[in-house]
Amino acid sequence: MTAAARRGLSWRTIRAIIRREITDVRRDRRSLLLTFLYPISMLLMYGYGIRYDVDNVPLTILDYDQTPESRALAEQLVRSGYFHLVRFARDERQVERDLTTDTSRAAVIIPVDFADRIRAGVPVTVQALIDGSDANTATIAQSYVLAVVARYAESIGPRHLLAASGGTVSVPTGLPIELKSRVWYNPELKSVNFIVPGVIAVIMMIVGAIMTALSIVKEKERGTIEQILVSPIRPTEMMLGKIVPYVILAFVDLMIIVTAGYFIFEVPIKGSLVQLALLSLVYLTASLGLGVFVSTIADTMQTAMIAAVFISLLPSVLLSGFVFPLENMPVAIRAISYCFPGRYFVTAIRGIYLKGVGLEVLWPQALMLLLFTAGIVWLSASRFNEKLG
Amino acid sequence: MTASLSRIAHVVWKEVIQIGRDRRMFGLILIMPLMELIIFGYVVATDLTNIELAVCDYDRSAQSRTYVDQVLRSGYFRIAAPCRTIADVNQLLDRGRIKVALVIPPDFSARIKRQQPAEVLAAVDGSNSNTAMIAAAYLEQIAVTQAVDVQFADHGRAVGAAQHPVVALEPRVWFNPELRSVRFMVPGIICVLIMESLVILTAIAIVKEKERGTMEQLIVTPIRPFELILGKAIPFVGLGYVNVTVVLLAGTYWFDVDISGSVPLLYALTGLFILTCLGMGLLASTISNTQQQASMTGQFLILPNMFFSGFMFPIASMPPLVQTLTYIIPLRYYITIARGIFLKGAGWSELKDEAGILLVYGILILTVASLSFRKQVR
Repeated sequence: MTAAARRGLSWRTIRAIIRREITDVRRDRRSLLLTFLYPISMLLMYGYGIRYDVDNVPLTILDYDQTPESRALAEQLVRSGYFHLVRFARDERQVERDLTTDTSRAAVIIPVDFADRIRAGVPVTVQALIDGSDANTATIAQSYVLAVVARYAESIGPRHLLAASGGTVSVPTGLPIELKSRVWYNPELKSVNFIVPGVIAVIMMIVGAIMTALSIVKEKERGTIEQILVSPIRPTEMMLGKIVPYVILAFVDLMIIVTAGYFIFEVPIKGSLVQLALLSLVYLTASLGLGVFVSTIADTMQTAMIAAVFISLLPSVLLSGFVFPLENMPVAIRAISYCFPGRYFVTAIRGIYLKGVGLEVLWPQALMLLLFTAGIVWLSASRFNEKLG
Repeated sequence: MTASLSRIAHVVWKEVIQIGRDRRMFGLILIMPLMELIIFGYVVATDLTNIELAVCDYDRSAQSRTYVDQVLRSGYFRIAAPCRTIADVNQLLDRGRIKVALVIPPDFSARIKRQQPAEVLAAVDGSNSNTAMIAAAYLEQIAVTQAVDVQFADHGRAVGAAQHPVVALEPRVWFNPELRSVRFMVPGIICVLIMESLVILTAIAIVKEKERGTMEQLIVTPIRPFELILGKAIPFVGLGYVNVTVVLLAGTYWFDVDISGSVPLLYALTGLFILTCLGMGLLASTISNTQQQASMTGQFLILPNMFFSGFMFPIASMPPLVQTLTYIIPLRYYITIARGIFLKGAGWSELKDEAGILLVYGILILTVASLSFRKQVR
């Protein structure tokens, strides 16, 4: 037992290490820039570039009939606002070509006897060809075509039936079953709204786990860790001193994301900011724990980088429900997702952010997050002391 | 000429030995395709099925039950929680137990019988806008189909006319009739792997010589700069093709995704994209001094390609300005080629525009990169 080990933690020592670490962070301009650029570029991309709502589906129409009836259907398709008319094709070869070359994603073919059959009251079938390459877009495009054609059928159907029946039956107007969809929490379906919580989760991992791990391993790689160890600094003091600058950095990032999201992209914060900050602190502690843990298993910065990406960054991007919904993944992958803190955190802060619910609803996630955090902090602290003490 | 060839061959051989010795690099080469296959095959390519649903049926009539049955039989939804009153809907959505709630009002069947439009209310959790969009689209489809059925069954009875709707739609899905997203993703995996192995690994391999100081030694030998670059690049070109083959095999035998177009054409056009990627890797190597910087710069070059090529997000729904910007993204052209050949059975006549642009792009970027590389060497 050295003299240093017997005394309590010294705030002065910790402060000195913090100062030194801050100098170090400030010198590494590139990494520092990255921690600010990453959240901003993600917000910009999802705020301005990437949208999940499918509209302006490129559409080719092949109208064999060329009658007022067929033109009315074509016009309803174009005017529905869901489609962007590529062109009126002249034959099926053109249709095929448009779909194959990605010029259009959907095509509607109106048969030659369209108007005749309608006038005669004989059923007529309109064909829709959907490019199924992207299953999601295809599903949505298909429902658009279906809706437009059904509305068209409904608009001409009763009239013709009326004529056929000699005008004796009462004819309903409007489709007999009407679906009124209401989207909750994110009525405009803005993708930036659901990306913000995920970006918080990812940036906390980058700053908390990757940067911390790298900064501790850097000392190992340079051999400066021995110098620190022979000085009267205790391992716990060193760990705390190394962690604090990254806690500050992470919270600056959190503030940037929340304020930029709120003021520039109008992402609402429906729940309590205090709870958001508290949960973020718990999650940040977990990621710092992961970072320290990585630093105890890696000896070079490159190994540390790879290990940190694998156990912290990838799971928080892929297995947190950040972009890719977890419900639809295979059972094995879903089971793995329960072992990482990302899914609890993303669910919880999405609840606070978009649904405006608090801990009264989110306590299971908060509890799991706390348990995970306690576990990883205990594990990494004991390993750290064992390796360096 | 022969001397030059043999010098290139020596560099290639040296590079191959070095890759074999570098355990980390070797591991990366082996693990990367596997990781990408798992990530894009199982995590990203998920079809929306089993959407958690709660039904709040105030009507409890034969009609309302038929409707719910129709919704469930579509296979997209499953009942995740019981729901008695509208108040439950709120709770269930808040807790994230369900994604969609259907509320059938008490006069549902009465209105259908009276031939008045009956309403169904759907509350969709929009926190994930993508899931919400698709769930709403499914519901709309089912409602419209059901509505048409009901309407014409009634009219038919009333006027003794046809039991079928007068205008029906026959939707037919081309290229991917079962709408499996994995079919969309497998060609994407090829793109990602080629980008990662060619841009990042090439950049790292070149910068490694700089970092170690062996670049000077190579330069004082009779090897000319372009021979050095060529020699360094060839193993990675080979690697790119190995990746393509691995994905093709895994796609066919593991994910059951068959290629509808010609494999030789895919290999040939992949060469054009490899050219572009090499150029990017070389460019990244000239502006980096350490391997870490090279890998970061490489990632930075890859990122816009992933987001703005139509790889994951449809270009058609981006704002017009962004859509215009996507024309400078090289992956945009290759992804059309890869998906065209894989899914649509596209041939040379459909893809020649993309191939031409990619060729010009590749030559351009490679010229710029080798010019700046030569300047640096001197």
